Amino acid sequence: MSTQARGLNNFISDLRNSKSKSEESARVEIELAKIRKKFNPGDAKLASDGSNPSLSSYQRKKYVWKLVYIHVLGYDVDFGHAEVLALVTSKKYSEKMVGYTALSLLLRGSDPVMSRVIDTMKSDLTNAPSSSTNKKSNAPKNDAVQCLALCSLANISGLELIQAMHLEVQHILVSPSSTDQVKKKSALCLLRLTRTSPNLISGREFAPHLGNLLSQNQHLGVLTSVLSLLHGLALQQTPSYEILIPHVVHILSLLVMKKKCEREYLYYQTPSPWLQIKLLKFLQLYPNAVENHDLSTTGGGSMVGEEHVGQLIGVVSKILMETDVSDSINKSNADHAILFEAVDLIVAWGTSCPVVLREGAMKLLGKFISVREPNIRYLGLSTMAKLAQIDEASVEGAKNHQATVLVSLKDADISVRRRALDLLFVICDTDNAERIVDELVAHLVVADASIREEMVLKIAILAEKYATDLRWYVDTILKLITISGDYVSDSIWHRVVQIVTNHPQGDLQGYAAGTLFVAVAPARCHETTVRVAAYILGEFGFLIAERPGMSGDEQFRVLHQHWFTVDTGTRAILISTYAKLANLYEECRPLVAPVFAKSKNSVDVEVQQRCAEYAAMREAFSPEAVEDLLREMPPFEDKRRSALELRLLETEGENSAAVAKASIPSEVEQQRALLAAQMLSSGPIEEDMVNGMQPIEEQDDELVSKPSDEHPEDGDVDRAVGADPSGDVDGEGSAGGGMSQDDQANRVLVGIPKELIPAMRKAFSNLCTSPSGVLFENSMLQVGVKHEYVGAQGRISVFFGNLHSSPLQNFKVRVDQPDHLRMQMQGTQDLIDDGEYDSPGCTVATKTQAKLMILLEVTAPFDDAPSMRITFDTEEGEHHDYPLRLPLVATCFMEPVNLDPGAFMQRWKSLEGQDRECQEVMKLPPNAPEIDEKYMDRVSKIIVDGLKFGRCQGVDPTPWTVSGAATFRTGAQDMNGNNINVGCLVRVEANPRANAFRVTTRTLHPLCSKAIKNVSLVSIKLAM
Amino acid sequence: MIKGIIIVNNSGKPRLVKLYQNVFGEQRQQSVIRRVYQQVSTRPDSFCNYLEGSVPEWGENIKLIYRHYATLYFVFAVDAQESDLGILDLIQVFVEALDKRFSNVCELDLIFHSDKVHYILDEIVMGGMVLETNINSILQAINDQERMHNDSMRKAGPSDSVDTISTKLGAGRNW
Repeated sequence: MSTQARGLNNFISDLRNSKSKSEESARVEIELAKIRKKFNPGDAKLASDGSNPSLSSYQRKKYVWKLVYIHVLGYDVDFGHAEVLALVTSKKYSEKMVGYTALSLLLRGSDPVMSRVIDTMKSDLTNAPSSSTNKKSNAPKNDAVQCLALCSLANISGLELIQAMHLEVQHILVSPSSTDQVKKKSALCLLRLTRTSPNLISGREFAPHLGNLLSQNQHLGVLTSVLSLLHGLALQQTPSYEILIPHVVHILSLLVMKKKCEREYLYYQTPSPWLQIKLLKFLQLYPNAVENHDLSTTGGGSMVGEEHVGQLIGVVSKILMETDVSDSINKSNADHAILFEAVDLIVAWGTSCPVVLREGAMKLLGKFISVREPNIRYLGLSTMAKLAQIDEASVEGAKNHQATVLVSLKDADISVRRRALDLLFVICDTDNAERIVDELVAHLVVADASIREEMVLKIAILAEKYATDLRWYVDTILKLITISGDYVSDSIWHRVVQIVTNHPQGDLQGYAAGTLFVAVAPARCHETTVRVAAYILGEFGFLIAERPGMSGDEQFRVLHQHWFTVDTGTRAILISTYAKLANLYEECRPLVAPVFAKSKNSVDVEVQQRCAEYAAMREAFSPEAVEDLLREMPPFEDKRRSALELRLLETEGENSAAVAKASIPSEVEQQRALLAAQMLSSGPIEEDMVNGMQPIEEQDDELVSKPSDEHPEDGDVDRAVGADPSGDVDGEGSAGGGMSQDDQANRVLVGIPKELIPAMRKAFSNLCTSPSGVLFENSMLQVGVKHEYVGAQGRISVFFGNLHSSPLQNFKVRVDQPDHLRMQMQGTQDLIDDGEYDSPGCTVATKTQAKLMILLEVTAPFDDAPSMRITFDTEEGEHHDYPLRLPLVATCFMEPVNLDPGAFMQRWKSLEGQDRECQEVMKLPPNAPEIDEKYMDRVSKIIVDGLKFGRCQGVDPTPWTVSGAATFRTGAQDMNGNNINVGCLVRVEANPRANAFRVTTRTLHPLCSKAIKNVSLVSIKLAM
Repeated sequence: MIKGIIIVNNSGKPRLVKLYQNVFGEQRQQSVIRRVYQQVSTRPDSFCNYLEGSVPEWGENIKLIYRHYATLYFVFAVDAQESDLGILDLIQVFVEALDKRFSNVCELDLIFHSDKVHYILDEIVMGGMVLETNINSILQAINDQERMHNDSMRKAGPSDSVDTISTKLGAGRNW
């Protein structure tokens, strides 16, 4: 039987047959015109309510239905309200039904005509159900009419209607004479009304009524609706409804423990899952309900009695333990819905929840995230992320499932991937950061655009937070830029600069400079790489200037190859870098000058201004002042919340788990901060910080805004010509280049003069292959080193001689202790600064020495030398600060191995492969001597005596190759208690015609290969 | 709460649209439907039934929970207060109720009996809240309504009942 009229069916058929959207809308227009005419024929007189009295009941219903249908199709229907109202006020049930449905679909609560249905609705609501005598009559059952009105009221929920009727709805709900059907609907209707206008109901007064409803009703349908209402109300006024917890626990335990449930409310044998879910959801609002439950509750305090707490915990554990995986998908859905709510309840209880339950939940979730069924896996992942946040122990629990989570990260489904990413973010900490971040980076390559930005941001935060080695952090961010540079926001690379600048300890700055040099060397690379590289090389390029192929002019060359492809923002950074390079290296000046000359006329204000100012600087100031201006930037002030966290906050909102996690500093971060604070505490650098050095992003803003702010009337060109360069630069020197100008502090800070650096590098390289020598020397201080090694162990003696005319005070030496070296230090009293306490340092009198002896053992391959920082004050008030490095490299621990040619070739072949082999070609500078046999003798001597390799003569038929083998000894032991050793092979090939050397190293360990290659290259260069 | 329920077919034609949180303007309403369809229809059935696609008209943090039956997508847009699996069950209840009422429900039933579909839904979800999940009492309420409806129709003129019959025949002939 159909309640729909034929005319409507024909109309629908017409629409379905229409070939195009325009044909359809033409048909709709015709129909609308027809209906409009029917409703208001023009000649007939309309009734007082605006409806057309000549329409039959059937016609009116038919046309209103057509309007509803047209409305659902997406066309605007702005007439016919009068006819809808006429149907609502009708006495016939069939008309009322159509009327109310149309009312809630076609009209909105704010429509003015609504006021005209209030009376009808009210009387429909309040008409008490007529007595049973009416049962057989044709008059509509009143509870059906009540239901229609409630339903419509809930769907429309206009303010005016609510004000007029909420009391009636409350009354109907609590009235004993209302039928179950009516109670159900009135509960939900009331909930809807309170959602639209909160505080309609006073919790304190209404809670007892709800209590009655909960305790008196056995009808599960009514209970479900009442619970919905209760949950909604309790969300608004949580404390008022706490007294109802015992009722809720009681109902829940009936359902779960006794399975007390009418048959028809069993959904695939599960007792009304929706009711159970609602009950659990309500309980989640009271996280303190089970607090201190094993202490006797002595009145007051919690509203929940001891027996209820026990009951509740019993219920929750039963749900956890007894949920089975079922064959029926629907049964399993229902059961798991309850289970997940129960776990959410455990999450809400947090630390006050018994540990057994938490562990049980974690175990279950671990099972869920490994199933194939995507819904369960999805929910398992998202719930586990919540559960893991309770405390340390739960994070540990979740970490056991890391491998499983990583599998879901590669799922085809974006919803599952998002959850997996979120969970990984939550469980990431110092122990597993490298693994997780590397996995995320690997996944980023294949990740689709929809999730990339989120991933990049999260990877950047994790890498920073949990990096035990900041070099790894730098590498990670570089990878991010390479893989998806477009998603790496400015704040991410600004952060890299901040971190590198603020961590002078270790060799981070040199490492960053070296890595970025390599990254920016290819002709094509992402613009963000160019920016970071430009900034870092400008600041710390001098640390790598002595490495082969990375001299100042090389640095300029690799940066400048990108000049024509980058935008003006990047060019501005490049210009500052060029100024710094030109300042450091004589050979760069002729290269830089033409760039400046050209860019002086740049259309971009920023580029133009920087060029003009740097060019003018040399003429206007003394060389010392220029030197100061172009010195390295002082450390950045640490802000509590990094820019990255702020971004995360923007995208995820305050309540996001990720944000909470990101804002708590990790252990490593705290350690780093402490270390940095110590490093800075004695130096005058602090003053620079106080003098307002701001984080880089703010400075950039300043750069852009400053010129226009200060000279609103000046033309830009005018300024660029630099009519008065001295005045201009004076005022804006620091802004223009981002350089610090405030070294005119009371104490003078003296670092290593730039001109000394080449000599130092040479001394360092020499010492790497010779047992003793001078590491550093200037007019005040000489540092000598003697070192010897047996297997994995070594002894280094360092002598600090005072060459000055007065004592050196507060003399301190701080030696970086990397993980791969076990060190013991001994020395002149107070000389060693171990970072534990603020030692005053010792005094070294004129013409005397301070001594430092280090005993060490190597435990793992490495490719860098530990740093040694010397600080002291002179009587003249100068503070000296020399960051040096100990000549302690991998080749120090070699033991020669003599192999016959066959064995050498066999091993050489077996070590083929990307990770194991390292190769570099070095072209000698044009002024170098030719490669002859004598040179080759020196090379072979270096390999044998300096690098301590055993020469393998038989493999070198011509004089132009040198091959050698050695073992790298470490003190670390493998599982059987044997020392771990790494076999190393090296082969140097000379090409006299090209005046070049090629060094190839093959070892079992990539770091070893790299280290040996580097030392060989440097030594060979020194031998010329 | 449930922000909206949308049933669309495989080619994106809406078959039932019920929005509990009002989206003002036909244009925007249509764009909600389009957006929901686009997001859901690109996912193979092997994916999970949840999608955290944002539908800006409803605000942030809206999750789409859907099921795909033959030619139709049943999509519920819900906020964080609803149980994820509970809603999946609810969709199942809705479909089972339709199936019982129309005996083997198909897309055409939704087209030609859109009124009844609305009535059934009104017995399951009201104002965005779950009203009833017991299929028997849902169908009972629908039957009561229909009986009363017919009773009140019988009192009207004979032309109505002729119409009812011919409607039925017409539907049979054309479809």
